[in-house]
Amino acid sequence: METDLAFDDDDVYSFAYLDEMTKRMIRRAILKAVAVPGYQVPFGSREMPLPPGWGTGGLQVTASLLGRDDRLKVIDQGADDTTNAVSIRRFFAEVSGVATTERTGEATIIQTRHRIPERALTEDQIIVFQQPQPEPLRRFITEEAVARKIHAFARYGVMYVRLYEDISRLGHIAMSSDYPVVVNGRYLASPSPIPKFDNPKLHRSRALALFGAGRERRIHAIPPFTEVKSLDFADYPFTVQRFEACCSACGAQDSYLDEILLDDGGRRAFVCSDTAYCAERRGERTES
Amino acid sequence: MTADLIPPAFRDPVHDSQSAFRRLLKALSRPGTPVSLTGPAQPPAPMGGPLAAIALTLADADCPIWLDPALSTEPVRRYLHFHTNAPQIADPKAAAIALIGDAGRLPGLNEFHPGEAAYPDRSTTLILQLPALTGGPSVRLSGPGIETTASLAPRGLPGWFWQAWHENAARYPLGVDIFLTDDRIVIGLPRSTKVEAP
Ligand SMILES: [Zn+2]
Repeated sequence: METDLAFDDDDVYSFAYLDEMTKRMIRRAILKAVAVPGYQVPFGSREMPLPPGWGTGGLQVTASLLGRDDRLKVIDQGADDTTNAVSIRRFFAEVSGVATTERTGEATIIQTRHRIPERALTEDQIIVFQQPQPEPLRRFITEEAVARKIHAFARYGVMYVRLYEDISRLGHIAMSSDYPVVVNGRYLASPSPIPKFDNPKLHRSRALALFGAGRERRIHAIPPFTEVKSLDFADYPFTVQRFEACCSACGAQDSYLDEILLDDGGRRAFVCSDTAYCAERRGERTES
Repeated sequence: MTADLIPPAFRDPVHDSQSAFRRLLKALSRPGTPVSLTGPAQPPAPMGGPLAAIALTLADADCPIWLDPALSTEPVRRYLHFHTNAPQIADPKAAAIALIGDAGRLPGLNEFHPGEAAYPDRSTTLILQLPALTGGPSVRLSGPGIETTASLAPRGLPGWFWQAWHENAARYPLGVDIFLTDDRIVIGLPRSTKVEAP
């Protein structure tokens, strides 16, 4: 199969593609991000051999973490087999030789776009989010300096006002993904475009979460066992999506479901968005 | 003096620094947890292996370092210059990383940079080398990265240290971050970690 990446297989690359000076710079930024959960640390983003919008921030974070003993899993919309996920996985296998896996439980590093796996992550795992826009205030505030000042003094009233306007107009909070959170009681942060269904998984997770935004040149982190509170109001508490159906493939009632078209006649079904979770559940069922 | 008298750094710079970084990341993500950290062979005294490993892993030309008087020896300075090329500066407040060989004589934490309100990442990270990471007065830690509480009893810190750490945590999100080391272990102490009275 042809690679989608703009790099030449015959060239010689540094381990995990990035040069050591760049890795050191990103590693220093990651450590600051861990020390100040939810704060967006600026870093000098590098060009990566991927088309724009392919998660170069997450890619640079993963490249700075990866070692020979790692086992990498890459998901996009919950699936391991989409073009984006396959290309990124192949890229790292090529430039670092690390093992890859589709099984969540076997991975040491999980790079993701749009989902957090259903299977609870462990202490020995790091999840890396590809994040297009790390600034939760960007919806209302375009000026970087203004947003920075709001974060500096935790003056987040504007975000609350905006959410409350959504409620009074629509009867509910309109954001169903990238729903803002307060991390460690201090920084308002964007959890990347995961469905708000996944927000509770960030709260006191056993795994370290790192968020890389390449175009915006920011890294932020949520360490393990960190308080992560989705914004809400006393009279409109935060709620996640609920599904009427269960997964038509594995029967899961607790997973995030995608609606798929079964045939040309418009017949539809719901299946797990987390394909590895679904496959593992189906495997367990046939074994027993 | 010639470069060949300087002890070598990591045997495998790419993979040894990657491994060291992951250990530092683990230590900072799980404050109070001892994480083993192997250093390069024979760094010049009084630099211990873990302290040398941290310097080699994080410092470079873009990362000014400050050395305490115990580490301000010609062999240490030449070693760090040769292997990291990091500017060695006299003002601790301008340092991205402060390497402290004699933690008992640590100047106050306020001597280092706590970052700025808009850029709390522009702070100093302190590497404190201690005689031992156990056997000292015990304190209880809590905060991000700690499931309930963690206890820690490093030996060799100045008597004022935990009160100063309490004040450091009270300035959050400003403040310094610390790695404590001995001859084989590193323990992370990010500014988000709170200490209860000993
Ligand atoms: Zn399913």
